[in-house]
Amino acid sequence: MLAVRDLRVRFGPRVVSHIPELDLAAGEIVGLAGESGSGKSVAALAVCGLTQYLGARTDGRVQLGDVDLLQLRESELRRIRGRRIAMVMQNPRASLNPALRLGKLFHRTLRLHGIGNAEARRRAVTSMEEVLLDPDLLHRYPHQVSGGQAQRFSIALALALNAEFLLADEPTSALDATVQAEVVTLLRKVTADRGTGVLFISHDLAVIGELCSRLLVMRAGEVVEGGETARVLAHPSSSYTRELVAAVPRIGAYDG
Amino acid sequence: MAEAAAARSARPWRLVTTLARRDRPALAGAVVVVVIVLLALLAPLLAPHPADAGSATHPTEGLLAPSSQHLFGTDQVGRDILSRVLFGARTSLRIAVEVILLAALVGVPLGVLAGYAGGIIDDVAMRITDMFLAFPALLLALALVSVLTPSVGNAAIAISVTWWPWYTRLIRARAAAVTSTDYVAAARALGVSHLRIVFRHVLPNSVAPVVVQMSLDFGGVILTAASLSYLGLGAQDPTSEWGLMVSQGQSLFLTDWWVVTFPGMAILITALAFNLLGDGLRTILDPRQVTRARRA
Repeated sequence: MLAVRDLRVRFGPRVVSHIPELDLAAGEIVGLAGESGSGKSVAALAVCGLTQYLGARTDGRVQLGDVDLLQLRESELRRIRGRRIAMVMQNPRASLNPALRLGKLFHRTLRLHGIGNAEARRRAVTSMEEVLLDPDLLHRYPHQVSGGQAQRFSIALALALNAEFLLADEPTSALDATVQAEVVTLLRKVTADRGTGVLFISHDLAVIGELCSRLLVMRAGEVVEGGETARVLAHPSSSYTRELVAAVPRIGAYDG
Repeated sequence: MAEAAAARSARPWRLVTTLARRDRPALAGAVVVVVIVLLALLAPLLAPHPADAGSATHPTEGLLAPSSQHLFGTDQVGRDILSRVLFGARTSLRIAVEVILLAALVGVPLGVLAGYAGGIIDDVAMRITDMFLAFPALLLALALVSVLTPSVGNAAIAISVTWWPWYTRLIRARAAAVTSTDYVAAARALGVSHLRIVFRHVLPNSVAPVVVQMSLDFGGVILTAASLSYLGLGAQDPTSEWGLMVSQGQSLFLTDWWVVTFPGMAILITALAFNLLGDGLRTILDPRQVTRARRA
């Protein structure tokens, strides 16, 4: 169980992201919606304790089990990142080191968290198969795979250590529509198989409507609305959410 | 990313063919550099009078004009100039390699650290490089050598001291840019430590311009070392060093031209060849930098 209480991220005096309350249970997918600059991504980084690298100050509570992540030291947090909370970034290509072959990146990540050599090798192959990628792609460099392949690889990498929670920061926004559907379907499947809790950040209400049981809507750093996805989308209470819902192009829903 | 890809596909042989096709002067430079390196390596076999490169003297054979016995003539104390020029190539190349490696060894880690850490560490590191760069390089090297006592080794140390800040500044800018990329953020989100991020992600992705600069710098270092020796603050007699030979022969130029001309030519040709080669390498390894330079 991941429980966020009164999480505030500040750049100087300005609060750029404030989440009063957010609970995420195992196996649950919660959406975080809002326009760019609304503080969604910063909130996700704050949950991992990564906002300090942006030069921001963060306070509040991020309770993972019985530890408050914001009270931990950097070295303790490092053992939690990747192992208990993982992240998938928006731009799959830019989030892979261009100088490393995919296999090497995967291997090192597993080794970093104390998994043996042979076991890491074996797990790289099974993880690739799980996200429906040819294990031969492990021999390629990031620029030699497609955007969709790179994002599926990123998901495999994020889940390789069986993290309890996954922060997916606009994982489909940089992909074209058909690939988006694939990635969303895949994300739902692999997290359901493991019982991973997912915080799914997106500005795309159509995707969130398909994927998430609950939803928070943010604007200008504040949560303007939250609740069951179906209810929020059908009967938005804030004017901003109504605008967002009205902006969704309705051609057809994703199927999984 | 495209750049990294280009660097990777530039396998040695492709490098040579590309050079040959695109850049004749660079190819000429490369050929001359290879010849100079071979001459330096084989100096003991090629030199007609290897002992003359050291402390041997033949006072009765002083200042002989070039002949079949002594192709480049002899100097004041009867030493074969061809032999000394060949061994001088060893001295010059040794200094160049030492200086560039030493400067990179100090400059690159500091620059990567500054670029990665940012903030106060960055400021302090950059102000330190500013202090070194504020001095004219040759003057600073001269001052250092006079404190350290003149010798080949100390000349190398002194030049390194003036050289490393360039590498620091060069790699710092790139390291700072790489630090803010998504893959570094992704590495952090996977629990990777600072040390690993620096060595596995930041360094490999920011080192290319420094490698290019290092290849460009060979000619400059050789020239600087020759200047120091010329001023009496580098290699000392009886070491074979081109700058030193020029300084010993310059008063004889009007009467015995060969004493100063051959070592002078050696300096000219070597520095020129390394510069042409370095320029060509930059064209291939870092095309954007060249476009910018030509536009400017």
